[in-house]
Amino acid sequence: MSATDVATVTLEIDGRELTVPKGTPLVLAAATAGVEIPIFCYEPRLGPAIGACRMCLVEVEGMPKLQAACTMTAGDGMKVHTRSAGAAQGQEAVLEFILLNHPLDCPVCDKGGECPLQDLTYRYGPGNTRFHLNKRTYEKPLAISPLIALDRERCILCYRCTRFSQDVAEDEQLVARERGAGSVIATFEEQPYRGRFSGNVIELCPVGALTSTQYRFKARPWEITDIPTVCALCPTGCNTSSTLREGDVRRVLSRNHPGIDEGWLCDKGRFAHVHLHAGDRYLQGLVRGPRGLEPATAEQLAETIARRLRHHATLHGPESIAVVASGEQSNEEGHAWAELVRAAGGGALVSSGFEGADWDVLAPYEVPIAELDHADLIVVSGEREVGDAAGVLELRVRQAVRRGARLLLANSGGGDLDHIATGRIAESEIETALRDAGHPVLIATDPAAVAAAAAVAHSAGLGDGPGGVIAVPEGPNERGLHALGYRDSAAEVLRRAEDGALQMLVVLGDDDPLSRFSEPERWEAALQRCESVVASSLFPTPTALWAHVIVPATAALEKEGTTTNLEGRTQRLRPVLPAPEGVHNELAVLAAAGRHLGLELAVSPSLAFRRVAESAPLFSGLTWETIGLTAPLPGERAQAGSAPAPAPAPAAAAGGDELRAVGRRPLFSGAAVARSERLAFQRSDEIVLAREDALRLGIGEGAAVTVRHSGGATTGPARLSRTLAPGAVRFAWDGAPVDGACAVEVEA
Amino acid sequence: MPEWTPRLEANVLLDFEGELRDLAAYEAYGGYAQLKRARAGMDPDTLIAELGGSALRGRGGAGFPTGRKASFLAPGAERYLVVNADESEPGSCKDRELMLRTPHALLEGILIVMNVLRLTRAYVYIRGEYLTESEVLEAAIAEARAAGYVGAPGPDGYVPEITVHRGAGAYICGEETALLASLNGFRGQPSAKPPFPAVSGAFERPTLLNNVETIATIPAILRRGPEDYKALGTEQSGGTHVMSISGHILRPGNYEMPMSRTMRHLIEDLAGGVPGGRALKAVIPGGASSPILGPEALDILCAPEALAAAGSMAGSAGVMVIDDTTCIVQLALRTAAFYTHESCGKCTPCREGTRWITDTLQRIEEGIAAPAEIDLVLEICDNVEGKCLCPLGDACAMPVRSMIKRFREEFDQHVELGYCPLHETSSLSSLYPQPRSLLPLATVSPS
Repeated sequence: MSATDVATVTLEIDGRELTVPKGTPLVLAAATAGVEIPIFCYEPRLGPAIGACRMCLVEVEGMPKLQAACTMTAGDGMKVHTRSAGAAQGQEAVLEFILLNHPLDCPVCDKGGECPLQDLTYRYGPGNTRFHLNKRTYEKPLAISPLIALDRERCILCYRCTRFSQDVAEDEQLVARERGAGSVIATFEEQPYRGRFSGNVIELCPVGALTSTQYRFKARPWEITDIPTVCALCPTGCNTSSTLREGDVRRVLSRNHPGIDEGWLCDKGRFAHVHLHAGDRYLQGLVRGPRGLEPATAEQLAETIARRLRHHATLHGPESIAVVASGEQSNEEGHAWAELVRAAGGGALVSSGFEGADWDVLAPYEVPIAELDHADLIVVSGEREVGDAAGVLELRVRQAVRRGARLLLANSGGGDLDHIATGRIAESEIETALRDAGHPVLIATDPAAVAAAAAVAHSAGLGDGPGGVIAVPEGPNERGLHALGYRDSAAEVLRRAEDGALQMLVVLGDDDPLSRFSEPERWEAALQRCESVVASSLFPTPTALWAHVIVPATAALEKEGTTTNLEGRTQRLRPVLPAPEGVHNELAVLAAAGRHLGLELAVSPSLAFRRVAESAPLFSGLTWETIGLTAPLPGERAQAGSAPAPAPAPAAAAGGDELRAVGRRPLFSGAAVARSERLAFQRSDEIVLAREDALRLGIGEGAAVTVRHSGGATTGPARLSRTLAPGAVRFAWDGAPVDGACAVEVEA
Repeated sequence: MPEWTPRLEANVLLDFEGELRDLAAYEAYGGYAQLKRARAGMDPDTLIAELGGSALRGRGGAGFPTGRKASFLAPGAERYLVVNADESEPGSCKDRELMLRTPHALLEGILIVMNVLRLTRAYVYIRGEYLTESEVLEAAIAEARAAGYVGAPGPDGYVPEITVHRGAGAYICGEETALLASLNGFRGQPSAKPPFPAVSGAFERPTLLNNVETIATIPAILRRGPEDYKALGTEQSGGTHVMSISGHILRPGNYEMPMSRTMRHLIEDLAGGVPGGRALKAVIPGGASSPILGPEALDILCAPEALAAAGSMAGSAGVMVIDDTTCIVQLALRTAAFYTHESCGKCTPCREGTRWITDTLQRIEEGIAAPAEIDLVLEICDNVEGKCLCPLGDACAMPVRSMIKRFREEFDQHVELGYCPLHETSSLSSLYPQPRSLLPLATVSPS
């Protein structure tokens, strides 16, 4: 529908005439005319307005009562007064009621200074109280989870948090209990609020009732700086603000990018920043010498890397060198390493442990995240849950389903989207389903699904019509690294290592081959055969044990650069805080190494980005300025060419009574989460079994069971699911995806 | 089919003595004849025209013309009828009597509406405390089912189904949007309109929502013809209505009477007047939420428009008679405490305002309030009224304000004397031996 098709109405607000689309709430209409109407409960992202707080009362000519400007929509010829005596009396009355039982403990409240209630009280409040009775008191603060504290005395019962839990995240865990003046916010059955997105309620709360236990009493709004950046912990690329006080990050807030996150943030992005201060972080460079790993200066690191690169390149040729990047690197770092290897004489560049994710082949079928807003059918392929693979993407899927889109799961089910899905389909049915829909979107959540997506999309005709594919890479910046040339085969590198051809392996990132790739034992043996292993990570990794050179890495919050999200959208990382003393700027180390090889690499991030932009079509035309605070999408969609090769058929599923493991990485996994103590409760170690399988095996709900599978063994309490495909056994697994036969044993 | 044989000429609904609980008795009385007419092919316009012609107004409290309401029902493949049997207004118990004495009149009304408008299913949302009533209704539905009126295809294959849904005891669930929220499986709280139930109600489908008495009256209107029915009442409010009368009255109970009769007819002729030779002090004409009237109420017609003109409202026809021994401060406190207890907590003015009103009235009743607090209560009432999401806040503010305005001197006396001057005689005094304990919300303990 084009803009001209939308019916509009013309009305007058405080004497200003304006024309808005029909159905616009008065609050929004007024905002477009520059008139602010005070609000507490109104938040369009939570769904239709509920008119609970009554703060937005306005006078509408011809209506006997004051009207709530959030639920009243703009009508043609309406004359609205937001500051008339009648409206002001209503607003003042409501504010007086809201403040009756509010403790007014602003001096000790985290929200004080950035509190909507405080701000509106200064502007609209009566200035005095006529209430001389006792205020309501409650036990406080209540930890509704290890992450969130609830102060029921400060709560003004706007119901934003419960609406988020019920209508946005749909986890139904925050509820209102009791009624009338005794109403309180509570968690269902007093259980901790567990969910991927629980932290959003802290930001939604218009008072200091819901506070972050991490941030509580840590800073006051007038002594902090909020630095806009993006989250680099998963490929979604949610926009964030990092609150800095006294040189340290105190909290991470969402920063609305309508095309990506709509102002939501997952708990990993919000709370995992404490990993920056984990005790086991590398705080200096290390080079293996006669007495083991010894501290090294930046220059020593650079010199060692350059020397070894040149040594192997000269002696054994490009076959002997490989860089394996986890995807946690910025484009600039990836580019610098690639240039360095090329300057030395060449080598393999690998961006993950998985085969087949060729983003160039997928490009003609790709659609941005916001395409979900128009989809009439969403098909999820891949066993990894959407919320595990790309956090906030789950909220956009839920929103699309609430709007009326159908959701089909082309996997074993047993996850959080089961309850809103129309049904489950087989992988072979994806193509038909996509073809029959008017505006389908296929979400591929794990490597096998991503590899298969292009061929399916092509045969379903997604290259020409509306709709397309949203493919989720494994690493946060896998897209950027792929564009920069990290597209060699990991299996090939491994084979070369086993042949003895590989002599030097550079492993970048904390998600290293030994913990994240399939067949870690083979990688371990291969590592041992390499003469030079360079590891760059924040924390000791299994690979680092074999390393000759350890380059301490900087975290995303500490570096300046760019990262490319799952849509191919390149966004800016801004340095929120300096790296710890002793942790060198990686670009400087690499530039120094480059000088030894006769290569001039950029140290300045802006210059480095200019080089990145020149090096690959994905970045062409981009500058710091065009990226800005909310980055645009890459240009035109590529044209679909010939049919992509279909992905190799997956191993046949186990038949009969055999059980099939479905082990996938949960959202709350990885080095950062492992070092964020308060996030530990968010991780579920449940073993999900289809109900009939569990009954057949005599396994009851909650029984301790062990799954023995190709990756090892996993133990946890059993959960019986009616939606998981019979035969499948779903569990959280941090390593490479686990499929294939498994056995389930009940613990004694 | 036997002809209808009314025994009480002036009555339409309760025109018999005793009970007509059995289907056989109801049919012998002429019942279900109108359903057969409807099933034989009555079109929606005819029904709406008949209802419009009868000037039947909704008996749930708002008094909206029933025919017009039915005409608003949006089209749709799935549409519902919801009968509001959550009769919870203090002073009102007419629906209860109707369901107990003539449940089949309600069922026939439901079935007529369903057959004519082709509704998917009817739900009777019955107040949780009405256990016997729901059992009687269920038994009647079972009888109607056996007789082929429910759950069996009619001449044109239409199968009506009726479900009785018991509430859980919240006053607010008598408000239509809260009732629907509760029926839909959510917390029973009202929501902003639009969407109106006629567009999105039960299960988010178009829903016609009517009070028990409204629906139970429909067969009688069809039987008598709209003009005949309307003639019993006034121009704007046709027919008769069942009035519940309680308080200081000789014969409390439910009385059906034409709209065109005065309050005196109800209080003196039907219910026997104030007992014990005491004087009439005040009348609450339409349930606890209606503004109080003085003895002049006796000469006012009981029709909605007449009571509205007198500054009160017909509400749900729960008349409460108050004699001169009664302390109006206690009455105001009792009323406010009820609404405070029943406030759902969704919107601010009602949640906070009703409790503030109650707590302050409590202080006045105890004699510990400052003189300015009486005006404070009036100001709080002003701040609550018209600012809430649903009418519950108004239901607290309106009667309290009217009681202070009309009986101001009693409130002043409490403040001046420091105690309740009518404590010895007032029948409400027994409620306040230890006044503070009555208000659990005033001292919410940490949970």
